[in-house]
This record gives sequence, structure tokens and C-alpha cells, in this order.
Amino acid sequence: MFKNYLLVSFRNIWRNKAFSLINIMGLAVGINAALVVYLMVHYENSFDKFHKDSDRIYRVVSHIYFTGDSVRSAGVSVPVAAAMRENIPAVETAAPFFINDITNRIAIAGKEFRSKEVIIYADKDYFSLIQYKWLSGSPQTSLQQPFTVVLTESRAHTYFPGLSPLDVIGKEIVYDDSIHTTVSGVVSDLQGNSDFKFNEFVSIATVYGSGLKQYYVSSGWDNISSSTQLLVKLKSTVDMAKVTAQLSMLGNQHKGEGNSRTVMQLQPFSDIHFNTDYPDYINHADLKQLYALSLVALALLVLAGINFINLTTAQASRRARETGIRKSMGGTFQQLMLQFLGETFMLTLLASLTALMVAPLLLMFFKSFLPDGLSDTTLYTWPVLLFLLGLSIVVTLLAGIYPALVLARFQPVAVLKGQINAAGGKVWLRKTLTISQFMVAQFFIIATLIVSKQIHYSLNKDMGFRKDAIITVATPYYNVQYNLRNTLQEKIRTIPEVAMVSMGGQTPAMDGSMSNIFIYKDGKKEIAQNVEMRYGDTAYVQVYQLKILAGRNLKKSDTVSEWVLNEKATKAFGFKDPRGILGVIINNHPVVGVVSDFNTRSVHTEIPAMALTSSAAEQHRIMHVLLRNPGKGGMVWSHAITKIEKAWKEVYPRDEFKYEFLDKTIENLYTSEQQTARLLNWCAGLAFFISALGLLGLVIFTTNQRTREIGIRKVLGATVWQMVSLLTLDFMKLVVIAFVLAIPLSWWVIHHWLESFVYRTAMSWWIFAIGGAVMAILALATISVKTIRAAWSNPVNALRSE
Amino acid sequence: MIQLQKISKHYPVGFGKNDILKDIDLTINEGEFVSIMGPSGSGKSTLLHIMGLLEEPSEGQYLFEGERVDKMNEKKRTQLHRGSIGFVFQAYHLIDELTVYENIETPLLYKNIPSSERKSRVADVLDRFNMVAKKDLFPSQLSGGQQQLVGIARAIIGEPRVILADEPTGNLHSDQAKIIMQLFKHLNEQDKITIIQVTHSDVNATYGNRVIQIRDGHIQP
Repeated sequence: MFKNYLLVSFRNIWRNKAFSLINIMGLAVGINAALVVYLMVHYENSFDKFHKDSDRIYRVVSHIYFTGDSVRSAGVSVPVAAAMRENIPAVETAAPFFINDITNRIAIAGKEFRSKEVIIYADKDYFSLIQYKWLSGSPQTSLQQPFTVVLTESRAHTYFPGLSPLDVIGKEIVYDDSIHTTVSGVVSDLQGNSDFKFNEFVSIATVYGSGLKQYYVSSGWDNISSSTQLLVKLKSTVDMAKVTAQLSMLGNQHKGEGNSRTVMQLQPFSDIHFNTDYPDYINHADLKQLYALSLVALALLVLAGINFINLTTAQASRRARETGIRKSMGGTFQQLMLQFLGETFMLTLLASLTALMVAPLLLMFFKSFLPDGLSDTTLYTWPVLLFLLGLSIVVTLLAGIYPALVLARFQPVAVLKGQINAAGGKVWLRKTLTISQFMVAQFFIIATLIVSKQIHYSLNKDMGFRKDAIITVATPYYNVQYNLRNTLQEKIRTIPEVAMVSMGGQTPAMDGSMSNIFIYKDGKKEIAQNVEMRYGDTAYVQVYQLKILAGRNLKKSDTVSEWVLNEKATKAFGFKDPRGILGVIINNHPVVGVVSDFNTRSVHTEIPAMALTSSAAEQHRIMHVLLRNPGKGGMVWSHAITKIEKAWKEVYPRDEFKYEFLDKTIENLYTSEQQTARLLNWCAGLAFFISALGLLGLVIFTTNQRTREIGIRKVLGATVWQMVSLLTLDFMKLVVIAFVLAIPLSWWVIHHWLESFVYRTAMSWWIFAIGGAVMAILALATISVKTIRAAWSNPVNALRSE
Repeated sequence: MIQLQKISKHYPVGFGKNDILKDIDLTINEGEFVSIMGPSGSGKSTLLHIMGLLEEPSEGQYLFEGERVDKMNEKKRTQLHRGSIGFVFQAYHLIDELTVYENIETPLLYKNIPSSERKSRVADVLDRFNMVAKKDLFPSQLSGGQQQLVGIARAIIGEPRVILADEPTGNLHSDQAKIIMQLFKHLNEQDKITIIQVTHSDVNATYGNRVIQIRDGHIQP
């Protein structure tokens, strides 16, 4: 029986190549999308699952509350570790570690390495929580002494190629020319995905025994930094509420003077990978993107399922005869249902196999949407194969039940008497499904257009400062020597291809914000205002062509001595006329000028009150270089950059030269929008592709059915054009209805999306018109593949075959 | 074997009804070869379908081997289809996706007959009908007469006690028709299978031993 079904299924799939191909391709796209999402979920879920007793490990994090504001930090102040060990009996192990984010140069036997990965300072406690296999050295002793370092096997291989773990012991590694350490152990790399994939562990005693102490260690309880972190392991049976209470008591005992309040919390180990509230070194799972992608996959699957339902029920009459025959031979309704569902399952399984084969390609295309560590090697493992099997079953049931019902329900007598209409199932249902397919496709097309329009608007909006022909060069942040920066600026100034150079802080617009509280006392009342800060010398205003509305430009100064405010700030302090605020003292310094407003961040946020000042010694670390006319083929610019690099090498011979064009900096403010746009592009393309396949299938079916009618009409004198429009009109009606229904839906969704931008593009009617036109043209093209040929065909052939 | 008592069949048409069969009383005994004849639209096919349990009468009683069929549930009817009744159709109605062998085998699958027995029974029938060489062909590769032979082979493989044939030679030319009719006669005489056929042809009717004339839903005396 089963074999019989199997044979019929295969022969049916084979016999209807066009329809099978349409179904398999559509389903394969949907299944592929689901597969990628599954891989991502699987990947993100695999993080840090292999640690011993990980359910008892927590990270201690801080919530810091100011007046009206709060900040979260992944770190705690340094004294917390010792205090927890002493005062909270439930703590089995407390493992503080410091994240080294300042090391720039690593020297081994005269050879230099640049630090690309995170180095931490840790001790034996860290290794008792995150357990490694020790190839040489031991967790107990290796990190006891100052100036010792433990490497992972891979790192040891990079630094000391060819040496065995035992031979590496005793070798010297020098950090930043000043910290001389000796290798005291090698551990094998962690197997499996982990957020704690550090490769170099310097003993924490090193920090205490060197100048690093000033940088990391502060005895103050309110000195919280995400680079000083604490992992704790609790005893196996503890009352969490009690531990939390003890922890907050500990915090209260050491409450600082200021008006900030810190609450420490225990973050479960399993939460670390998914929680983005705490900015740290970890590549968090992007849950929002995961949800978005899941929705997309679901949408594509549904579209493909609709194709299957439509095509199968449309062709039901072909199978109806089989139903009739089988029933007259004693086949039951249930047996027939099972047979047709089995056939659907075969088709879905074929689609799954196709998906599995195409998936590596897909992973390549979608690389930028995927987490870095995700590779296609996970593709051919049991969990993935089981997932595909499960998905195939679910898709089979969802897409297959209704068609199977339609097919198995035919009564033999009606079939055998030839009383079956051309198609089974309800015609309105097929039409509705087709309309909803195109609605989805139409929605994605319109959304793509508007998102692109908003990005175009964001990039081309007048932000209130000059954006072109400017490059920025950041001096090494660990190098505090002010005179070097001055020298570099001088050298750049003399380059003929450079029009102007300013030394200052951040660019006018940047990703993020730095602000100070400004307090202005006008005699009667006090106005406190959060003010965005920008730093620069006199040339800063000139390079960026900021418009001075009143007063004068800044004078360069080593420390803050005067303010230039923007209009917003002027108004915030109660001055309608910019000239009125000149000479007013705010935060001990006079206001000497007012510039017009400019955007300090992406167009998501409103222009804030801003103060520009000069604080060269502390804050001027970036060269803002205005280049001359790019010249033929950008020759002038490439010369300028070569010469700036030469100047850099003279000043900072050991540091890497990097520069960035300002337009690029601004573009980077919109990476997530660009990502959305790219994703939408794909969605629109794939959604349309699947829907068009379904449409094509229906068109092929109807035209084949109407071959005779077409022949008769042509014999009676219908023109090719009349035939084409007759065949096309029915389908285009559906596309037009889908367009009309998609308008409110896309308007509503996009309206919400645009609301996240303070400065946004208009939702012009012509966007909808273009979206509709694009889909109409594409649908028309799809339909015409079949209709034109049918209309051209010689009527004699159609009629003779009868 | 088959007893029809006051069988009527009508379809609703608009506000009225369209009578197909009216008060049919008919008894067919085991081993008979009956031909039902009549002009188009006289109701003979409907009568056959009712006897084959493919259609239900609007009124009247139908007894198959003494059992009330109109009282039977779906399961019992299916049992009758599997075991007692074989169908032969004018348009053959073979399953296009199955080979000759598989088409003949299908009724046995529904009877849950084990694979080895299926094999031998299909082989027997193929042999008897001289179609061993054609067993792997698909219906579309056969002539009409050959297709009908497969149709008959499929009808008798389940060893039914009655074969209902709806114009079995309607699509065949006379030579092929002759072969089919001789086969029916043979099945009737040798295998003692009751045969009821609907036919237009007086020649075909002569193969049987009883003719029932039907006109406007009534059996002509």
C-alpha cells in the first residue's frame, strides 16, 4: 500500500514538472529562510552551555541611578569582590577580572604584535568558574605571581609558532613596552561557543604590582567601570532572595557622598548572551533582528504554502477521477486523505532537500545579517536535519490538509459521470489567497521604497555643517602627549593639498552623545540644562562651515575658557536674541558666540542644546582635515592622504595610520537602516518571486483549460490582442485588489517606522503609485509568459485535438 | 442476490424535481448475465450506480444478498466494494500514474492482502488475459481494447460475486467489443460471476441471458 502511494506520488510529481517545480521552488525558498533563522537561534542558544555548574554562576552588575536618569554597567567597583567573599556566606567563589582595553602593542623577542583580541587580568578563581584543560602550568599556581601570563593554545601558537605548551613556559611577553611578563601556563581553547573566549590571561597580581593599579584599582565603591567585572559562584542550595538582600545591604553600607545610588544585581550566566542592557565586550544575540527574520521566514513559508494550496486545488479535477476509482474499489476517505497528504509530504521533503543544498550559498549572501561565528558546518548535523524533518511535517499539514480534503471528498459517481467542474475547492478561496499573497509582496515593495527614501533623505539632508571633502584622523588614544598632536597638526597644515586642518574632539555629528549639565543663574532663578559638548580650535567652525549668528569664533585654549552655544541652547537659557547671551557667564565661563543649529547625531534625534569650546590639552585628539578640490580622478585627495600618512609616520612611527571620510562617518550612523533596507529588498524580491510563481502556475492551468475556447474565439475572429487581454484581465484584477488592500497596511506600518525619526521624509503618494506600478508590471510580465503564446497559437491545433 | 423494491430516484430541479427512476422492482439471481438497455437518459446508468452502491435511491429498498443496503453504514458499504462488487467503466477509468500491473493490484491493496499472495494473483490474471508482456506499460501506452481488458482484470482480481459494467464496449470498435463480451460470457459461465451490463448494442445483449428494457425511468414489461 505504502509503496503504491509512493509510486503514485513520484509519478505525479514527475508528470507535472511545471507545477512540481513551482511548488518545490517556492517551498524551498520559505524553508531556506526558516532554516537560516533556525541556525541563528541554534547558534545563539549554544553560547556558554558547556560550563560546569553554570546555573550557579552569576555576573554581578550595577544599576546606577542619578536624578532622573539611570545607567547600567556590566562591572562593579573593585572592592565588591572582597566584600562579597567576606560578608555573603552563600558565595562559594568570587572571581574578579579586569578587561584590558588599553594594550596596543605586544612585543615578543623583539617582534611586535598588535592586539586585536581582548586580554584580561585574572587569577585562579576565574579558572575555577570557567574551566579549561591545562596543557602546561596549573590553575592553582600559574597566576599566583605578578607578571605572569597564561595563553590559550591558539594564542601560544601565534606568538611562539612550533613550540610545545611546555616549551612556551618561561618565555617573555612585553605589553606596551612597560609590562614584562613571563608565560606560566597554556590552556586548550574552549570548545564550543562562548562569550568568555579570552586568549590571554595576565595575573591580576600584575595590576597591583605595577602602574596599572592607578588605571584599574580604585578603593571607591562608586567607581564603577565595565572593565572591572565580577563573576560569582553560589553554593548549591541558597536562597536567592536572601543573597540579593545581602548584596543590596552591602551596597547601602558603602553608599557614596554624591546623589547617585548604585544597586548591584546578580545576572544569571545564561542571561549574559541575550541581555543587551549592559554594554560590554560580548557579541550579544540580536533578539529584535531574530524576531524580524522569523517573521520574514514565516511570511515566505505561508506564501509558498498558498501556492501549493492554489495549484493543487485548481488541478483537483485531474486527481478527482483517481479518487472516484479508488473509492469504487473500496478505498476509504481516510486512506485517500493519507495518500494525498503523503504526496504533499514528499514534495515538501524534496523542497527541504533542495533548501539544504542551497543553504550554504544563502549563508554566504546573508553574511552581514548573521552572527560572525555562524558557519555552514553546522548545517549537516542532527539537530538541523531533525528540524527540517519537523518543519516538513508542519508545512505538510498546514499546506496539505485543505487540498487533501478537497481531493479525497470527491464522490465516485459524480466523478465517473463526468460531473466534476474544472477545478475543485472554492474559487473565491483561491482568489483570496492569491490576493493576500500579492498583498504581502506589495507591502514589502512599498516598504522597501520608503525605507530607501528615508535613507536617501537622511544622508542628503542639510545637517547644518559641511560634509564633503573632510577626513578625520584620530590620534592614538593611549598617547597623551599633547605636543605630538600639535606637531602632527602643523605637518598636515603645510601639505598643499590640504585646505585647512582643525584639531578638536568629535565630529559635529556622531554615534552617541556626550553632555554636561550647564547651570545658569539669571539672578532670580536657576536654569539647569543638559548640553551636548563639542570641542575644537578656531578652525573647527571654519572647516565645518558652522554659521556664526552672533559674537565671535572660539579662541584656541588648552583648557576650557569660553563657550560658543547653538541657538537651541541660547533659547533654553531664556534668550530670544542670540546677541543677548553674549558675555553671560555659565559654568564659570563667558559665552562669546552663537552658531546656528546643526545635527549632532542621526536624524533619529532632535538637535539638542550644544556648547562648543576649546580644551586642547584634554579633548583635542582628532584632526579634522578639509581637502582641496579632488582634481582629476581624485588625484589631489589620494596625494593628500599619502602625505598625511607620511606626516603621521614621522610623529607616531609605531602606530597604525587610519582615516575616515566624514560622509562615511555619517553613513555609518545609518547602518541599521541600511541593514533594514537590504533585508526588505530581499523580502520584497523573494515574496514577489514566490507569488509570481503561484500566479504563473494558475495562469498555465487556466490557459490550458481554455485552449479550446481560445481556438473557437480565434476562429470567430478575435485578435491576438483581444485574446491576451481576455486572459490577462482576470488575473490583473487580483493584483489590483491586492494593491488597494496593501496601501493602508503599508501606510500604517511605515508611519510607525518613520516616527522613530525626528527628521523624516514625507510618505508621498507617488511612492505608493510606483510600488503599485512596479508590481503590476512584474505581474504582467509573469502572466504574459504564458498568455501571449496561448493567444498566438494556431486555433486548428486546439480544435483538432478535441 | 439483488432485490430492488419500489426504488425511485429524483433530483431537485428548481422548485420541482426531475424523476430519473420510478418504482423499480427488480430481482437478479446469482449467476445471471443481465443486460440493461434503453435510450439515452432513460435512467439505466443511474440504476447501475444504485446497484453498485455509488448512488443512493431517493425511495425504496435495496437488498444485497438479503441485507438492507440503504441501512448500511459507510464501513459496510466499503466492505462490499472491496469484496463483492467489481466495476467496469465505459471510459476504462484506469489510474494514469500506475502501470498495468499496479492498476490490477490496487483493489488487493485495499483488501489488505499480503504481498506474496497479491503477486501470485496478479500474475494469474495477467496470464489469463494474455497481458504478461504489457504489465509494466502505462494505460496511455495501450489501445482502448487493451485498457478495457485491464479494467476487467482489475474488476475480477478481488473475486467479486457481481460485476457491474457500464457500457463496457461503448468506446471500442466491434472486434474489440467481441473479445470483451466473450470474456464476460466466459466469466459468467466458468467463474459463476453475476454480470450486469448497461449497453446500447443489441449484439452485446445477446451474450447475456436476460434483457431488461428501461424507458423514462420505468422497466418495460
